[in-house]
Amino acid sequence: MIFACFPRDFGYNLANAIHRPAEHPYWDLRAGPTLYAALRMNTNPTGPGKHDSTKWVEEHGDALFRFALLRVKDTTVAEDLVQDTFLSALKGIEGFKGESALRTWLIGILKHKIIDYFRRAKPEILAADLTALGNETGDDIVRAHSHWERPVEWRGEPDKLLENKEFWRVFVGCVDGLPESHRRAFSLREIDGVSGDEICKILNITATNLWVILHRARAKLKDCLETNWFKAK
Amino acid sequence: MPCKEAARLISEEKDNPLPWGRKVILRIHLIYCMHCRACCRKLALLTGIASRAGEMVLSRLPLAAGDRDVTLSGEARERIQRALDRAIPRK
Repeated sequence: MIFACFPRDFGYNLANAIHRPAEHPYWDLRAGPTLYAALRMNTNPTGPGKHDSTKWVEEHGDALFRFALLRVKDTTVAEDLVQDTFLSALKGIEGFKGESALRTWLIGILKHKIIDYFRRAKPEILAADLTALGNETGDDIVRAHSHWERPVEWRGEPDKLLENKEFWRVFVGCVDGLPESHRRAFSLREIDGVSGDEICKILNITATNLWVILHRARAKLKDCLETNWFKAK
Repeated sequence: MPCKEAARLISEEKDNPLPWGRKVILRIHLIYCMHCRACCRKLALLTGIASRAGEMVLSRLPLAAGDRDVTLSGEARERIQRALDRAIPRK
Protein backbone atom coordinates (compact mmCIF):
# COMPACT_ATOMS: atom_id res chain seq x y z
CA MET A 1 0.00 0.00 0.00
CA ILE A 2 1.32 3.39 -0.89
CA PHE A 3 0.67 5.81 1.86
CA ALA A 4 2.89 8.73 1.04
CA CYS A 5 0.94 10.70 -1.54
CA PHE A 6 2.62 13.82 -2.75
CA PRO A 7 -0.40 15.88 -3.87
CA ARG A 8 -2.19 15.35 -0.57
CA ASP A 9 0.44 17.49 1.15
CA PHE A 10 -1.28 20.71 0.45
CA GLY A 11 -4.43 19.58 2.15
CA TYR A 12 -2.70 18.60 5.35
CA ASN A 13 -1.41 20.94 7.92
CA LEU A 14 2.35 20.72 7.63
CA ALA A 15 2.68 22.14 11.10
CA ASN A 16 1.01 19.00 12.38
CA ALA A 17 3.51 16.87 10.58
CA ILE A 18 6.25 18.65 12.41
CA HIS A 19 4.74 19.07 15.84
CA ARG A 20 2.59 16.01 16.24
CA PRO A 21 3.80 13.28 13.95
CA ALA A 22 1.83 10.64 15.78
CA GLU A 23 -1.38 12.35 14.70
CA HIS A 24 -0.34 12.85 11.14
CA PRO A 25 -3.14 11.50 8.99
CA TYR A 26 -1.29 9.20 6.69
CA TRP A 27 1.04 7.72 9.23
CA ASP A 28 -1.26 6.53 11.93
CA LEU A 29 1.09 4.87 14.31
CA ARG A 30 -1.49 4.00 16.87
CA ALA A 31 -1.15 0.28 16.89
CA GLY A 32 -3.37 -1.66 14.56
CA PRO A 33 -5.38 -4.58 15.91
CA THR A 34 -2.68 -7.19 15.30
CA LEU A 35 -0.07 -5.26 17.20
CA TYR A 36 -2.35 -4.64 20.16
CA ALA A 37 -3.12 -8.35 20.28
CA ALA A 38 0.58 -9.17 20.36
CA LEU A 39 1.17 -6.71 23.18
CA ARG A 40 -1.76 -8.02 25.20
CA MET A 41 -0.60 -11.59 24.86
CA ASN A 42 2.84 -10.84 26.09
CA THR A 43 2.16 -8.61 29.04
CA ASN A 44 1.26 -10.08 32.32
CA PRO A 45 -0.95 -7.95 34.53
CA THR A 46 -1.30 -9.52 37.93
CA GLY A 47 -2.55 -8.04 41.12
CA PRO A 48 -0.35 -7.04 44.01
CA GLY A 49 1.08 -9.86 46.07
CA LYS A 50 1.10 -12.33 43.21
CA HIS A 51 4.57 -11.62 41.86
CA ASP A 52 6.96 -14.47 41.62
CA SER A 53 10.32 -12.79 41.52
CA THR A 54 12.11 -16.05 40.95
CA LYS A 55 10.73 -16.03 37.43
CA TRP A 56 11.68 -12.45 36.65
CA VAL A 57 15.05 -13.10 35.07
CA GLU A 58 13.61 -15.84 32.92
CA GLU A 59 10.58 -13.89 31.77
CA HIS A 60 11.85 -10.36 31.51
CA GLY A 61 15.64 -10.56 31.49
CA ASP A 62 16.03 -10.69 27.73
CA ALA A 63 13.56 -7.92 27.01
CA LEU A 64 15.19 -5.58 29.52
CA PHE A 65 18.61 -6.49 28.16
CA ARG A 66 17.57 -5.68 24.60
CA PHE A 67 16.16 -2.36 25.69
CA ALA A 68 19.38 -1.53 27.52
CA LEU A 69 21.50 -2.51 24.51
CA LEU A 70 19.59 -0.04 22.39
CA ARG A 71 20.89 2.68 24.68
CA VAL A 72 24.42 1.65 25.69
CA LYS A 73 27.05 0.01 23.54
CA ASP A 74 28.71 -2.08 26.19
CA THR A 75 27.23 -5.51 26.90
CA THR A 76 28.59 -5.59 30.44
CA VAL A 77 27.06 -2.22 31.24
CA ALA A 78 23.74 -3.39 29.83
CA GLU A 79 23.87 -6.51 32.01
CA ASP A 80 24.63 -4.43 35.08
CA LEU A 81 21.74 -2.11 34.32
CA VAL A 82 19.40 -5.07 34.07
CA GLN A 83 20.69 -6.45 37.35
CA ASP A 84 20.26 -3.10 39.10
CA THR A 85 16.76 -2.85 37.71
CA PHE A 86 15.76 -6.20 39.14
CA LEU A 87 17.30 -5.39 42.51
CA SER A 88 15.49 -2.06 42.71
CA ALA A 89 12.29 -3.70 41.62
CA LEU A 90 12.63 -6.24 44.39
CA LYS A 91 13.04 -3.48 46.96
CA GLY A 92 10.12 -1.51 45.62
CA ILE A 93 7.75 -4.38 44.94
CA GLU A 94 5.41 -3.40 47.73
CA GLY A 95 4.80 -0.12 45.98
CA PHE A 96 3.76 -1.79 42.76
CA LYS A 97 0.01 -1.96 42.76
CA GLY A 98 -0.37 -3.82 39.50
CA GLU A 99 -2.03 -0.94 37.70
CA SER A 100 0.26 -1.57 34.76
CA ALA A 101 1.87 -4.70 33.44
CA LEU A 102 4.88 -5.88 35.38
CA ARG A 103 7.13 -5.49 32.38
CA THR A 104 6.01 -1.91 31.79
CA TRP A 105 6.92 -1.13 35.38
CA LEU A 106 10.30 -2.83 35.05
CA ILE A 107 11.06 -0.90 31.87
CA GLY A 108 10.21 2.30 33.74
CA ILE A 109 12.80 1.46 36.39
CA LEU A 110 15.32 0.59 33.69
CA LYS A 111 14.76 3.94 32.00
CA HIS A 112 15.64 5.70 35.23
CA LYS A 113 18.74 3.57 35.65
CA ILE A 114 19.81 4.47 32.13
CA ILE A 115 19.29 8.17 32.79
CA ASP A 116 21.37 7.93 35.96
CA TYR A 117 24.06 6.14 34.01
CA PHE A 118 24.13 8.92 31.44
CA ARG A 119 24.29 11.54 34.17
CA ARG A 120 27.28 9.89 35.77
CA ALA A 121 29.13 9.42 32.48
CA LYS A 122 32.62 10.80 32.27
CA PRO A 123 32.74 14.00 30.22
CA GLU A 124 35.39 12.51 27.89
CA ILE A 125 32.82 10.29 26.24
CA LEU A 126 30.89 13.18 24.84
CA ALA A 127 33.75 15.62 24.65
CA ALA A 128 35.10 14.27 21.37
CA ASP A 129 31.74 14.67 19.66
CA LEU A 130 31.16 18.10 21.14
CA THR A 131 34.50 19.58 20.15
CA ALA A 132 33.82 18.38 16.64
CA LEU A 133 30.58 20.36 16.74
CA GLY A 134 32.28 23.59 17.78
CA ASN A 135 30.49 26.40 16.07
CA GLU A 136 28.93 24.29 13.40
CA THR A 137 25.34 24.93 12.65
CA GLY A 138 24.86 21.50 11.18
CA ASP A 139 24.18 22.92 7.76
CA ASP A 140 26.86 20.82 6.15
CA ILE A 141 25.31 17.43 6.65
CA VAL A 142 22.35 17.74 4.34
CA ARG A 143 23.31 16.10 1.11
CA ALA A 144 23.02 18.17 -2.00
CA HIS A 145 20.19 17.01 -4.18
CA SER A 146 19.25 17.78 -7.70
CA HIS A 147 16.09 19.81 -7.76
CA TRP A 148 14.88 18.18 -10.93
CA GLU A 149 14.75 14.66 -9.51
CA ARG A 150 11.87 13.49 -7.40
CA PRO A 151 12.84 12.52 -3.88
CA VAL A 152 12.70 8.86 -2.89
CA GLU A 153 9.48 8.21 -1.01
CA TRP A 154 9.23 5.88 1.93
CA ARG A 155 6.67 3.33 0.94
CA GLY A 156 5.14 0.61 2.99
CA GLU A 157 2.20 -0.04 5.26
CA PRO A 158 2.97 1.31 8.73
CA ASP A 159 1.53 -1.63 10.64
CA LYS A 160 3.37 -4.21 8.59
CA LEU A 161 6.56 -2.23 8.88
CA LEU A 162 6.44 -2.01 12.65
CA GLU A 163 5.87 -5.74 13.00
CA ASN A 164 8.68 -6.67 10.67
CA LYS A 165 11.66 -8.18 12.47
CA GLU A 166 14.00 -7.37 9.60
CA PHE A 167 13.00 -3.75 9.66
CA TRP A 168 13.78 -3.49 13.37
CA ARG A 169 17.13 -5.15 12.79
CA VAL A 170 18.00 -2.47 10.29
CA PHE A 171 16.72 0.28 12.56
CA VAL A 172 18.72 -0.93 15.56
CA GLY A 173 21.76 -1.32 13.33
CA CYS A 174 21.40 2.30 12.25
CA VAL A 175 21.08 3.53 15.82
CA ASP A 176 24.17 1.52 16.72
CA GLY A 177 26.08 3.39 14.05
CA LEU A 178 25.56 6.78 15.64
CA PRO A 179 28.28 8.47 17.67
CA GLU A 180 27.69 8.06 21.38
CA SER A 181 26.42 11.57 22.13
CA HIS A 182 24.02 11.41 19.17
CA ARG A 183 22.71 8.04 20.24
CA ARG A 184 22.09 9.19 23.78
CA ALA A 185 20.42 12.44 22.81
CA PHE A 186 18.28 10.83 20.14
CA SER A 187 17.16 7.91 22.26
CA LEU A 188 16.34 10.10 25.24
CA ARG A 189 14.38 12.52 23.07
CA GLU A 190 12.61 10.22 20.64
CA ILE A 191 12.38 6.88 22.41
CA ASP A 192 11.81 8.06 25.97
CA GLY A 193 10.21 11.41 25.19
CA VAL A 194 12.38 13.32 27.66
CA SER A 195 12.15 17.12 27.32
CA GLY A 196 14.99 19.10 25.75
CA ASP A 197 15.79 20.94 28.98
CA GLU A 198 16.04 17.72 30.91
CA ILE A 199 18.33 16.15 28.32
CA CYS A 200 20.65 19.15 28.51
CA LYS A 201 20.92 18.63 32.25
CA ILE A 202 21.48 14.89 31.95
CA LEU A 203 24.13 15.07 29.26
CA ASN A 204 25.54 18.38 30.47
CA ILE A 205 25.32 20.14 27.12
CA THR A 206 23.86 23.45 25.99
CA ALA A 207 20.55 23.74 24.21
CA THR A 208 22.28 24.78 20.99
CA ASN A 209 24.51 21.70 21.19
CA LEU A 210 21.41 19.59 21.62
CA TRP A 211 19.65 20.95 18.55
CA VAL A 212 22.66 20.40 16.37
CA ILE A 213 23.19 16.90 17.75
CA LEU A 214 19.55 15.98 17.21
CA HIS A 215 19.61 17.39 13.69
CA ARG A 216 22.70 15.36 12.83
CA ALA A 217 21.34 12.23 14.49
CA ARG A 218 18.03 12.46 12.67
CA ALA A 219 19.69 13.16 9.33
CA LYS A 220 22.08 10.24 9.76
CA LEU A 221 19.30 7.90 10.74
CA LYS A 222 17.15 9.06 7.89
CA ASP A 223 19.95 8.40 5.39
CA CYS A 224 20.81 5.07 6.97
CA LEU A 225 17.22 3.85 6.94
CA GLU A 226 16.71 5.07 3.41
CA THR A 227 19.83 3.36 2.10
CA ASN A 228 19.40 0.11 3.98
CA TRP A 229 15.68 -0.36 3.90
CA PHE A 230 13.53 1.87 1.75
CA LYS A 231 15.84 1.98 -1.22
CA ALA A 232 16.91 -1.61 -0.91
CA LYS A 233 13.40 -3.09 -0.88
CA MET B 1 16.09 29.97 2.25
CA PRO B 2 18.59 27.32 1.24
CA CYS B 3 17.61 23.70 1.76
CA LYS B 4 20.40 23.12 4.24
CA GLU B 5 18.98 25.73 6.54
CA ALA B 6 15.44 24.51 5.99
CA ALA B 7 16.43 20.97 6.96
CA ARG B 8 18.06 22.24 10.10
CA LEU B 9 15.04 24.32 11.04
CA ILE B 10 12.64 21.47 10.39
CA SER B 11 14.56 19.42 12.92
CA GLU B 12 14.91 22.29 15.36
CA GLU B 13 11.23 23.11 15.26
CA LYS B 14 10.44 19.81 16.95
CA ASP B 15 12.37 20.81 20.02
CA ASN B 16 12.45 24.60 20.00
CA PRO B 17 9.54 26.65 18.62
CA LEU B 18 10.76 28.97 15.89
CA PRO B 19 10.18 32.70 15.91
CA TRP B 20 7.26 33.76 13.75
CA GLY B 21 9.37 35.19 10.93
CA ARG B 22 11.47 32.04 10.51
CA LYS B 23 8.38 29.90 10.64
CA VAL B 24 6.77 31.79 7.78
CA ILE B 25 9.88 31.64 5.62
CA LEU B 26 10.19 27.93 6.32
CA ARG B 27 6.57 27.28 5.34
CA ILE B 28 7.09 29.19 2.12
CA HIS B 29 10.19 27.15 1.35
CA LEU B 30 8.23 23.97 1.97
CA ILE B 31 5.58 25.04 -0.49
CA TYR B 32 7.96 25.19 -3.39
CA CYS B 33 10.61 22.64 -2.41
CA MET B 34 9.48 19.04 -2.77
CA HIS B 35 12.74 17.69 -1.40
CA CYS B 36 12.37 19.48 1.89
CA ARG B 37 8.74 18.42 2.06
CA ALA B 38 9.83 14.83 1.61
CA CYS B 39 12.52 15.35 4.24
CA CYS B 40 9.91 16.74 6.63
CA ARG B 41 7.66 13.72 6.06
CA LYS B 42 10.52 11.32 6.61
CA LEU B 43 11.55 12.98 9.85
CA ALA B 44 7.98 12.69 11.08
CA LEU B 45 8.00 9.00 10.21
CA LEU B 46 11.33 8.57 11.95
CA THR B 47 9.98 10.13 15.12
CA GLY B 48 7.01 7.81 14.95
CA ILE B 49 9.16 4.75 14.46
CA ALA B 50 11.51 5.67 17.27
CA SER B 51 8.69 6.33 19.71
CA ARG B 52 7.46 2.80 19.08
CA ALA B 53 10.87 1.22 19.48
CA GLY B 54 10.55 1.29 23.25
CA GLU B 55 7.18 -0.45 23.12
CA MET B 56 8.37 -3.08 20.71
CA VAL B 57 10.60 -4.44 23.41
CA LEU B 58 7.48 -5.31 25.38
CA SER B 59 6.42 -7.72 22.68
CA ARG B 60 8.51 -10.71 21.75
CA LEU B 61 9.98 -9.15 18.65
CA PRO B 62 13.70 -9.37 19.20
CA LEU B 63 15.30 -6.07 18.31
CA ALA B 64 18.81 -6.86 17.31
CA ALA B 65 21.38 -5.51 14.97
CA GLY B 66 23.13 -8.05 12.83
CA ASP B 67 22.10 -11.62 12.42
CA ARG B 68 21.95 -12.89 15.93
CA ASP B 69 18.94 -12.67 18.17
CA VAL B 70 20.05 -10.86 21.24
CA THR B 71 19.63 -12.52 24.60
CA LEU B 72 21.37 -12.45 27.92
CA SER B 73 24.29 -14.85 27.95
CA GLY B 74 23.92 -17.89 30.19
CA GLU B 75 26.67 -16.59 32.43
CA ALA B 76 25.03 -13.18 32.82
CA ARG B 77 21.69 -14.77 33.49
CA GLU B 78 23.10 -16.89 36.31
CA ARG B 79 24.98 -13.97 37.79
CA ILE B 80 21.87 -11.80 37.87
CA GLN B 81 19.78 -14.60 39.30
CA ARG B 82 22.32 -15.14 42.07
CA ALA B 83 22.29 -11.43 42.92
CA LEU B 84 18.52 -11.50 43.07
CA ASP B 85 18.49 -14.62 45.22
CA ARG B 86 20.86 -13.00 47.68
CA ALA B 87 18.61 -9.97 47.89
CA ILE B 88 15.35 -11.79 48.48
CA PRO B 89 14.65 -11.48 52.21
CA ARG B 90 14.43 -14.84 53.89
CA LYS B 91 11.26 -15.37 55.84
